[in-house]
Amino acid sequence: MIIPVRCFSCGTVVADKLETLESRTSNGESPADILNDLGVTRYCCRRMLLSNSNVIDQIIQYHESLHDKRVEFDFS
Amino acid sequence: MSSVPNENWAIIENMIKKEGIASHHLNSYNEFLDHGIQDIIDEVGGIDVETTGTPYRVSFGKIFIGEPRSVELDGSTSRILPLETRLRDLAYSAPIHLEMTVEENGIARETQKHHIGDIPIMIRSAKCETSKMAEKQMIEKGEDPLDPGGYFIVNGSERIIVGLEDLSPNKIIVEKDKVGGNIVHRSKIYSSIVGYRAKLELTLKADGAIMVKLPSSPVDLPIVTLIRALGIENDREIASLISNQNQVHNLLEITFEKAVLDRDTHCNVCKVCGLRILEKAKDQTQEEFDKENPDYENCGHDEVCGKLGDCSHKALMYIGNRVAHGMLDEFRIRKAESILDWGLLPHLGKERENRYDKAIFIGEAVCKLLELRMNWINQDDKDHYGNKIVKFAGPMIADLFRTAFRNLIRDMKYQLERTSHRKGSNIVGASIRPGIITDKLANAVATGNWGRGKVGVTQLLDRTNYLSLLSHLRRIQSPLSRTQPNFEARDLHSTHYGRICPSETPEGANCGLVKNIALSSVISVSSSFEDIIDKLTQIGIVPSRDISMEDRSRFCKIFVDGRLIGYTKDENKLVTSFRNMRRQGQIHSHASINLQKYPNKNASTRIHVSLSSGRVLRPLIVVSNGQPLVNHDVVSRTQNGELSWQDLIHMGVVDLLDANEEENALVAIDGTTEFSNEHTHVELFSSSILGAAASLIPYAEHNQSPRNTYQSAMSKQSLGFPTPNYNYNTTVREHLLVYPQNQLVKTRATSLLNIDKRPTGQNCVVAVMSYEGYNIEDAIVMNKSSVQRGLARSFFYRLYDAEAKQYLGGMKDNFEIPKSDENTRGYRGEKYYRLLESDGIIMHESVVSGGDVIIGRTSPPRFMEEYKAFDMTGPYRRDTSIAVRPSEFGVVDSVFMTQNEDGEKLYKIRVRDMRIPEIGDKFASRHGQKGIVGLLVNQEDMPYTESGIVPDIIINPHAFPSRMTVGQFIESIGGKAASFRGTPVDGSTFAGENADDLGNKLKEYGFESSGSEIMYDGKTGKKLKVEIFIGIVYYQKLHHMVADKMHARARGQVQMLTKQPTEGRARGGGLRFGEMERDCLIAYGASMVLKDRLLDESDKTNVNVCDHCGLLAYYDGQQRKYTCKIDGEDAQISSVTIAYAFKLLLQEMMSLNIAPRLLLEDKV
Amino acid sequence: MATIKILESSDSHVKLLLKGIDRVYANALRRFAISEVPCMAVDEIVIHENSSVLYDEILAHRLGLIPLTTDLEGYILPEDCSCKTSLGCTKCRVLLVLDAVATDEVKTIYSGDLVSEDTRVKPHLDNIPIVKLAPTQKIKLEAYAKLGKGRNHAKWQPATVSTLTDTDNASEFHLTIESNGSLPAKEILLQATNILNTKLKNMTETIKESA
Repeated sequence: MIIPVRCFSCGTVVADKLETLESRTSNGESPADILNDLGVTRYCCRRMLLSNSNVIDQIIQYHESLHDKRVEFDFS
Repeated sequence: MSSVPNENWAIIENMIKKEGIASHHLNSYNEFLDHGIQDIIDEVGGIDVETTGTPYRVSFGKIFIGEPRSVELDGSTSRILPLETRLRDLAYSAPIHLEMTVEENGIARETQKHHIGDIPIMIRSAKCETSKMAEKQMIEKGEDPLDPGGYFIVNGSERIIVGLEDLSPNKIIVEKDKVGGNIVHRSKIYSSIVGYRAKLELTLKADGAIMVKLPSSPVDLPIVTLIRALGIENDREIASLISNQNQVHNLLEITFEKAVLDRDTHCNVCKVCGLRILEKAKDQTQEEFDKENPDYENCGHDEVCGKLGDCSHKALMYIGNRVAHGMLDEFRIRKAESILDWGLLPHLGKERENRYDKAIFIGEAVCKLLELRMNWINQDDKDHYGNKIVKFAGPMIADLFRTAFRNLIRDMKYQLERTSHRKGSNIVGASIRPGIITDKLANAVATGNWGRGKVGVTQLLDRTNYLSLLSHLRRIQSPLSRTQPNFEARDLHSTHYGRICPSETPEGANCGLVKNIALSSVISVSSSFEDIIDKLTQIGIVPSRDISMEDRSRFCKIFVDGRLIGYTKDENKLVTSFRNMRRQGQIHSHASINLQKYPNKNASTRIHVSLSSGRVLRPLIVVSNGQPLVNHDVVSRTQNGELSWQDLIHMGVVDLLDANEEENALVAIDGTTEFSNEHTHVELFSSSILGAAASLIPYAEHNQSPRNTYQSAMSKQSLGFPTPNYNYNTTVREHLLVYPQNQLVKTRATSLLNIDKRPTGQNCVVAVMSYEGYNIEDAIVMNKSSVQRGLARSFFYRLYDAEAKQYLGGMKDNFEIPKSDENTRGYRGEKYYRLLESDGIIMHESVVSGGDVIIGRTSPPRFMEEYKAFDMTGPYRRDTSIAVRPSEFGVVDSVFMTQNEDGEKLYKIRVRDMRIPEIGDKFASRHGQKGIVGLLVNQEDMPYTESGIVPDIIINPHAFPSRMTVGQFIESIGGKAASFRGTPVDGSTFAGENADDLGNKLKEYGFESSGSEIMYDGKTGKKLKVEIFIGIVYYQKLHHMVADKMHARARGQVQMLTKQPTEGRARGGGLRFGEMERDCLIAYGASMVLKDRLLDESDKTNVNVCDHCGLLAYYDGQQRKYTCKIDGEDAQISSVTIAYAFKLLLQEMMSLNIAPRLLLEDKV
Repeated sequence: MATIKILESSDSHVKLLLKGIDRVYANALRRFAISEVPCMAVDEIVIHENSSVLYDEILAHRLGLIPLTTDLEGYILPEDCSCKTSLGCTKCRVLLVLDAVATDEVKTIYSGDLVSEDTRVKPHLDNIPIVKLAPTQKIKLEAYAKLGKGRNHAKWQPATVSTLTDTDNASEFHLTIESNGSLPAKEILLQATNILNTKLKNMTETIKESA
C-alpha cells in the first residue's frame, strides 16, 4: 500500500526515509550507499525500504480520474 | 552451481510482453469471431421453406458482430464496459447480425440484416472496447490495465473457459490393444470440422479381417465393402490404395475374402485385370445394356468371369440394410449415402465428389494399420504432445454456437412454414427468436454446461491474487476421467518440455490431468490450407490422384492436416524447402512439418504438415552449420526494442516448433554446447520451461521436485494485491494484503508477470531455531511486535447482494426496515435491524457482526390462495432481509445501488474485516514450506542478534532435512545480501545468481557467508549455544485463517427431518461423533458416554408404543387418551425413549408395507 | 565492584559497558527499555471525515505508530488517572488534530501536518507519510495520544533496539539502547532503572507485608 511507518521487526521509523531514497536513487545513486548515509544499517530496516511496493499510487489513479474526467473514451 | 548468464531471456520477455499472458485465449476467440462463426453459418447455408404454395429459400450471407452493449428494460441500448457488467450483474455480450436473402425460384428478392442473438464477448478480445484503450483511458473507466483478459462476464460473474486438451483431429492413430489374450490392432481417426466430430475406428481382428466402425452404424463393416461403397469397385485399385507391398497385400486377403464371401456385396471381377464384370440381364438387349452402362468397356478377359452387377450399389445397399433396416430400398440407399457423405470423415468434405478422397484416406489408414501389424512401425503414443491439441474458447464457443444456431434454424423453419402464406424479409425477421442463441450461449458460459454431458467447461475466475489469475488463464484440463488411474496420461512426457510446466499440477485426483502451459509455449492459430497446397505444389509434389501405382509405395506420402494430398520422391528436399520458406515468411510461422521415417525400409515415409489451431509450439533458436543464429547483437537489439520476437521469427533465426516437428530436430541445451552440424536448434532460455507459478520460485532447481509442485499450488492461495480497482469490484470474496512487498530475491518472471506491481507477500526476517516448543510440527513462531507494526495484516471482503424482484400479480419486494407491528413473518427482532437507514439499507462504515441485517427487505406472501381458502388472517409479508453471515464481523465498506437487466433495484454491499495475524493463521515461504502460527511473542522475549535484529518468524529446523528445500536457504542468504547491496537478487531457476557470491556479499558486510549469526535469548540475555541461521525470506499469508474456521457448539439448531444437530460451521452445526469415535467408546466400555453422545445430546425422543401390537401409538389430545390404531383405545401403551432417527426408520418401513414391531419388556 | 562506562551516547543511541553487573539485572533493564518504559502514542482517533483510499483502520494504525515526543513529567498513564473516561483528560492525554485536503493534485499528508495541543508532545519526525490523497479527498480527524507501555502494544515501545551482548571478557557486557525518538536514549535507560527499582521495592514491601 504505502510505506509502513516502522520497520516490522525492530520498530525503527523507516517511512520518513523513503522519499529521500527514491529521489536519490532516481539521480543514479546506488541504493546501498543512500541507506548507509541515512543510517539504515540493519538488514531488517533496509528490506522495508528496498522492497516497498507503493501500490497506493495505482489505486489513487482511479480516484484521480474520478476528479479529472477530461478524457472521455470515444466510442466511434 | 554454475550460473550461465543467459541474455536470451529478452526474447521470451518480448514475446510475453507483446502477446500478453492470455494471448492463447484471445487468439482463439478472435479466430472464431473472424471466420469460425462465418464457417458455421456457411455450413448451413440457408433455410429451404417448404410451403404449400411456392417454396422459397432464405439464404444466409455475411455475419456481423456488433459492439458489447446492454439492453435496458425500455428497449434502449447503450455501450457497456466490463466494469458495468460486473456491477450490474449483466452479461458482456454483443449482438450478432446475419444477412438473410429471400430467394424465390433461385432469384434473390431482398437482403436484410437480422439480429439473431447475442454472443458473450471475451474481455480484451478484438471486440472488447478495452482492447482499443490506452492505459490511461482504462483507468478512467475503472478497468485494470494489467488485467490480461481472456474470460467472459455473464450475470456479473467472471467465467473462464479452461483450455481443454484433446486428441489431434484428422490424424490416423494406430495402436495395439489386448482383448482377451489376443492382440488387436486399431486405427483411429477423430475427424472434425467446426463444431462437429466423428470418430472412425478400423480394427484388425484376431482372424485377420479389417472391420470398420462407423459413427452411426450399429455393426462393424468389412473395410472393402466400405471402400466399394465409396465408389471404387476394382479390387486391384482398392488394394493399391492401401499399399503396393506384397506383404501387406497378403494380409489383406482375408479382408477381401470376407467381402467376397458376403453374398450381398459380391460381384465378380476379372481375375486377370481386376475390372468389375457386368453382364446383361436375361431380358436385356445389348442396346439397353450399353445405354445403362455408357462407360463400360469389356476388358476382353471375360471368358473366365461370372456375372452380377454394380458392386458399389451393392455395397451401399449392404450398409443401408444395416443402418436403416426394413425401410424402402431407395431410403436405405439414401441413408447409406448420407452416412458416407456426412458421417464418414467429415473433414474431407460432405459432397459426393469427396468420396474418392475418403477412400484414399481410408486406404492410408489401413496401410498404417497393417504396417503396424507387420511391426514395421511402432504404435502411436497417445500422450505425445504432437498428437494433442488444446482447445480454448474459440472451438468451445464454436461447438456451442453451432448447436444454438441449428436450433434457431429449426425454429425459424417451423415458424416460416406455419406462416407460409406470407413471405418476405419482414416475416423472416419476425420468425427469428434471438433468445435461442442468447440464452443457450449465456447459460452455457454461466454454468459450464456444454451439453452432451460436458460439464465444468467454464470456471469462476480465480482472483485470490494476481498470480492465481494468471495461472488460471494458463491452465489446461484433460478430458480423461479423474477417477480412473490413467497412469501414463498423468506422467510428464518428454514432449512437455518447454510446453507444459513440469511442476505446476494439483495433487490428488487431478494430478497430471490438470496442467499449466509453460512461459515459453505458444498456442498455434490456424493458417490457410489452400496457401499451403500452393506452396507445396511450388516446391513440387505429385498429387494423390495422379500418382502411379509403383510410385505410391516408393514415394513419401504428404499429409496436410490429416489429408493425403500427394507424394514426393525427395522428402528431405521438400521438408528443407518448406522450412526455408517458413523462415522467409512465405509460410505461416505456426505451420509445422514433420518427417516420419522408420528404420524399417518397408514402412512408408510420411510427411505431416499441420496448420490447425491449438497445437502447443515453443520457440527455439535456429542453429545453422553449427552456429546459433541468435547472437549477442540480435539479443541486444531485441532488448532495446529495435526488434520484436516476431521479427526474429521472420528473420528465420527463431523457429516455433510443435512436438511433431521437434521430433526432427536436435536441440542443444544451451549456448555453451559444442555444436555439431547435426544440431538444428538451441534452447532459448532454460527456465522458461516452467509455468507462471513455478517460475516465481527462487532457486527452484535446488529444491526437491515435489516441493515446487506444492509451492505452485500454494502461491495461488496467498494474499496480495489482486487489483487496484478493488473499490469498484464486486467479487464475492476478496482479500487484500495491507503492506505487500516486492520480493528481494526475485526471478526474471517476477517483473515479466507484473508480480512486482501486484506482490503476494512480505519479506520476513526468518530465523531457523526452536522456540519453547511452539514451532514443532511445522508451526511458526511470530514476533507479536512485528504483527502490531503491520506485518501480514490483511483485509477480507465479503459481498452481500439483494434485488427487489417483481412477482406475478404486480407484487414486488420492498427495501425497507421490517416493522414488528405489521406481523411480518420471520421478523428477527428490533436489534437486528438497528443499523438500517430508513431506506432499509445499512449505513456505510457501520460496524456489523454475525446476524445483523444489512439489507432490509420484505417480500409478498407466498401462496396467496392458501390464505383465502382457509380464511386465515393475513396475508403477511415475509422478511427476506440479508444479514451478515453468522460468525463473521466487519465494517460496511461500500454500498452499491444499481439496476439489473430487468430494471429491478439491485444492492450490493461489501463488508470488510481487518485480519491481524493470530495463532492458527497459515503462512508459507516460496518453497512449499507451510505452517501455522503457533505463538506470538513480544519483541523483548524474542532472540536477538549482535546488531539487535529480531526475527519476524522462527521456523523449526526439522522443516529441512527430509524436505530438502535448499532453495529456501539460498533465498535466505540472498535476501540478506540483497538488503545490503540494495538491489534485488536474481534467483531465476537455472540462471540465478551464484550462491557463493551472495555469501561473499555477506562477508563484505561483516557477516558470516553461511548466513548464520550469534544470537541471544531474549528472556535471559544469554548467548545461544549455537549460531542461528537467519536471513530474509519472502513469506506469503495464505487465505486459510482461523477466523474463518474456528467453531464450537454447545446447543443449537437441529435438522428438521431427523432432529439431529445440523452439520457445518455456517449452520452452527455440531461436531460429528463418528463411527471410529463410537468404536473407541465401545472398546473402552464407556456406555453412558456413548448414550450421552448418541442419544441424550442428539435426537432423543419419547414415543408411545402399543404393548400388544408393538407399533407406534399416540396420545389423542382431544379425548385425552392413549390410542393405538390397531388395538384401539383400550390397548396398553408404554412410553419408550428412542432416537428420533429410529422412529423415522420405523415409519419409513411402515410406508413400505413392513410392520416393525417393538417387543417391550419391563425394566429389570 | 560494579562499574558502568558510557561508550557512546546520543539522543537516539546509548551504549554502555557493564562490568561486574549480573546479567540478570542488565537483561531486566534491556527488556524494560522495550516493554515497561512508557511513552506517548496515539491511541484513540475520532474520524470526522476520511475519503482517502486508506481505511479508517489503517489510518488509525499508522497514526499510532508515529513516535511522539514524550513528556513523562506532564502526563500520567491512563490507568493511573482519576478521570476514567475513554478519551481521557488533560492529565492523561494529548489531542492532535489532522485536517488535510488535496485540491488539485495528489498530495501526501505527513506526520508534520498533525497539530498538537501541547507543543511538548508532537511527532518526533515531520516527514513520515501518513496517506496520499487524490484530488478532492479529505481527512479530518482528532487523535488522542496517551501514555502506554510496550508490553501492551508495540507503538508504546520507546526503544527499537535494545541488546545485551557478551564481550570478550566474561564479566563484561555491552548494553545498547536505541530510541525511536519519543524519549532520549539515556532517559529510557534511566526510566528502566527506576522501574526496576520500584518493582523490586514493591516486591520487598509485599514480602514484608505477607510475612
